[in-house]
Amino acid sequence: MTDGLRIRVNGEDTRVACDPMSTLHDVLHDRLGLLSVRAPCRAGVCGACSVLVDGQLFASCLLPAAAVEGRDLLTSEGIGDDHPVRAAFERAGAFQCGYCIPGFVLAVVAWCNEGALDPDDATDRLAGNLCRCGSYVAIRRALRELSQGAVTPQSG
Amino acid sequence: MSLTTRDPATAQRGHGAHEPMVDARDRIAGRTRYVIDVDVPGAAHAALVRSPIPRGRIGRVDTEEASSLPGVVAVLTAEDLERHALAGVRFGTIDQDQPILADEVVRHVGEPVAAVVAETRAQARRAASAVRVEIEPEPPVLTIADASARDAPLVHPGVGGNVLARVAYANGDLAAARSAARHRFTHRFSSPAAQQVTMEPQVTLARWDDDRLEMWATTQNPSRVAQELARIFSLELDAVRLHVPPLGGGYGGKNHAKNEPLVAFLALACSRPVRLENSRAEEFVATTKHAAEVEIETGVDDQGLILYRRVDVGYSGGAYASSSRAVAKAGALAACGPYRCPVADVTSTVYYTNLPPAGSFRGLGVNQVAWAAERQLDIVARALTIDPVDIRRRNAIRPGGRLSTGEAVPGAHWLECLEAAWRGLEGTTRPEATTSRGGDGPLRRGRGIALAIKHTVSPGRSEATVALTPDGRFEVRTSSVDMGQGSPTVLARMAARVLDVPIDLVVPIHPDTAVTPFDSTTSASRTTASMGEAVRRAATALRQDVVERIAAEQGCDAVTVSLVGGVVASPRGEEPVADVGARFGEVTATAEFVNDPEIDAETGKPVSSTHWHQGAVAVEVTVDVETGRVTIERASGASWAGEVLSAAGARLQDEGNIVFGIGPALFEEIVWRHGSPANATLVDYRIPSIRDVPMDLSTIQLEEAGAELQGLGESLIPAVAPAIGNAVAAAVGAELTAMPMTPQRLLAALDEERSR
Repeated sequence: MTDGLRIRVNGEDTRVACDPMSTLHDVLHDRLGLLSVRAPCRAGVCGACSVLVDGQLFASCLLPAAAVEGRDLLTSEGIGDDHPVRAAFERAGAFQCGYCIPGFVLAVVAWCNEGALDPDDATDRLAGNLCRCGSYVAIRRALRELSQGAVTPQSG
Repeated sequence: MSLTTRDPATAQRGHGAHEPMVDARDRIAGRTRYVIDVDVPGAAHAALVRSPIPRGRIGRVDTEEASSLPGVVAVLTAEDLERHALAGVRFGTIDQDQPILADEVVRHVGEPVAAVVAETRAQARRAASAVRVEIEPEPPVLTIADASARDAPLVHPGVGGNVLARVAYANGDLAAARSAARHRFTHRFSSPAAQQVTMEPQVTLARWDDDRLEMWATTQNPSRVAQELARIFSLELDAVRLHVPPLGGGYGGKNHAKNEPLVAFLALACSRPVRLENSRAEEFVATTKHAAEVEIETGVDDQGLILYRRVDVGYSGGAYASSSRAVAKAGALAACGPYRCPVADVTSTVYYTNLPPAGSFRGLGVNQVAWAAERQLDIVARALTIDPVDIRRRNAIRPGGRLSTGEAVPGAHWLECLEAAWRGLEGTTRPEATTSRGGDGPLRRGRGIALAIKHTVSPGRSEATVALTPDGRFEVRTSSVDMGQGSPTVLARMAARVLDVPIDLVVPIHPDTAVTPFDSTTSASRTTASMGEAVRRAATALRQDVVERIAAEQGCDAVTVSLVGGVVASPRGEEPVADVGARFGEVTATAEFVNDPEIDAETGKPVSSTHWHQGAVAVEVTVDVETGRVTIERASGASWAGEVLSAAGARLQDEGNIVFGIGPALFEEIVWRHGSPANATLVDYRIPSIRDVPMDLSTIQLEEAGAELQGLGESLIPAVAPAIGNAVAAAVGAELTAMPMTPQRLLAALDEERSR
């Protein structure tokens, strides 16, 4: 990595000069300005720093940057507003302060990548994401909408 | 009275109450910019050198090595305060007792003794660890018992004992009520310190331009913190400009001045913009919930009617006052619960202790007393073989009833909340949901319910400006802080409704004290009621002003001009109101709302609260008698919501109350070792995840068309832990008196129960 870390981030090939042992969070947030990647716990338990690495969910606050050399990364910045997961969160009003929500969305995107989503599995699949405002009930509503492909007005 | 529910098919609501929150898309996408994202060009970074011990006398502070390290701009101690005429200054939004940097003594683990300012945060932290501080330890005061002991060391010598704040009232003849009561019960309940755990930590930035101070801070009180900074730095109020972009959570953890005076001082001393961000571990020594011990005595007759309650509440306030005076009051007012209590004797005391300053925490001191008052009522009910729902039906304050203080309670809705919450639980019944005590397997099932009462800040003042801008939008300028509770949506919707314009023409402006007028505080669930009313008044005045300007312009009578659906119509024709903005330049209207407490005719004193937050929570739990684990199977909440401006926001608040309340009920507790938090990480200090939240969780917001607006930030949370505790008792007979209800505590209680 003498000429920097080579990664593909949100569809763009990028080279970043950095300490290979700095965390992926610090590279994405501090060096590349991807501010949706947040680090409330720096211990891998809250999920707000989640990124997808080749489609798989990782806590970027624990991952050394060198571990993702040559990989394809997706952060919230690389997801469109019309993405079905995001749209489902919006319809269900699944957020409060919103600080943690991009991490939840990425966790659900990774889950969808593995096949059909069963909302009953949320208890296991989303246990690695924390929302202190307590939006979990609304997030479950978003998952139900997503699994049914239902398009309803603001869930009332 | 006609009650409607949250069901959109039946609810009759005003302007767009079912529309999404105003900024949903940006929040979900991660585009919202919080205080932590603010970038002030040229800012240096601060790191604090904190006391490792709870109490001691500061000796030598050696900054030499730290000063020589790479990137270090300055290392500052209390001595440096003198050069800026700040020696001995104390700050605090209610009581001024907190030093900017510790001088002479330290009073809690984590108290800032010195500060390093450096080019990068890493350099600042490295240098901070190189500052050598000698502190001569002194015996600390760590518990309520320590603090109230007769010969206790004084946390603040000269104050007179360790009492930080005390609120007491006696109503009626206690001795007579005691001797008349057929059944008397006395219990002690406790709850520990907890942390608010905002996902975004406290972040503060300051820069000076000559003698003008500009700051960005994670504070719930922009107006009062700006006033506090003006006082400390001897500035005119308009020389302080404080910005508060959205917060990544508040929950009371960002209430009252915290790092703001220190960071302003650092920027002044270094002639540089300075930024300070708390680490997660630092959050645990910055502010906590008040630990509490409650002794409660209740006398009832054979029917379970409460004849008297005597409540003695002790809170651990930590080393500095913060919001403790408000906590003492909140606890006193809620100590007897929302029940008719003809005789009451209540004392609520916050003690100084050598722990981090305890401050506001969602529920503000009420969760601790509700844990006692609601748990004990179930113990009373079981002793008299009265159904726990029934004993509440018999005792709940009814319309026209009086609080334990003797004052009238305007608009009592607890009975409706009680029935709705209990029905909500019934409505979710599944076949296996029968209460089974003493079954064969290890799982026991039980249900519990509790009520909540909480006051609001009275009096409080909110000012709002609503402006029609030259580009044809309506700005709603308030100092109400957006911390995820949905205030921009509620305030924008209020303005849109009054002005009768589409909500996408309305732009809520985040607090910027140069632009947004005064507001007492964004706490106590007061924003919807208080700022909502100020916005209504300002929007009404603006509407009138716009109509009159058009009338004058067109030479017609104002009564012939209408503003409907965003279109201005006059005898000359119609035009979109947005077009009017360009012609008139900026048109603004400012109005204020003060909830001045009325004098109660019977007590002759001002009422304690201009309205009461009211709610009920019912839960069904399973208890594993082998592991001691409590699982919440279903939960149901009902709040009194008055008139709802945002259905989505209202429901999120009630759901969030229940989820937030589960943590301190079942597992959240700061573990202190010699005054230092031993579990100051989110690995060791767990907060609720989706695993802790039942699949069946329903809430209902009780509404009434045209009723007073109500905030819903705290209407359910005080009831959550006692409802769970009552369900546990119903399931296994163990009467838990200490929070959190951990497996260890439950197994110990079961052992005690068996050995009886």
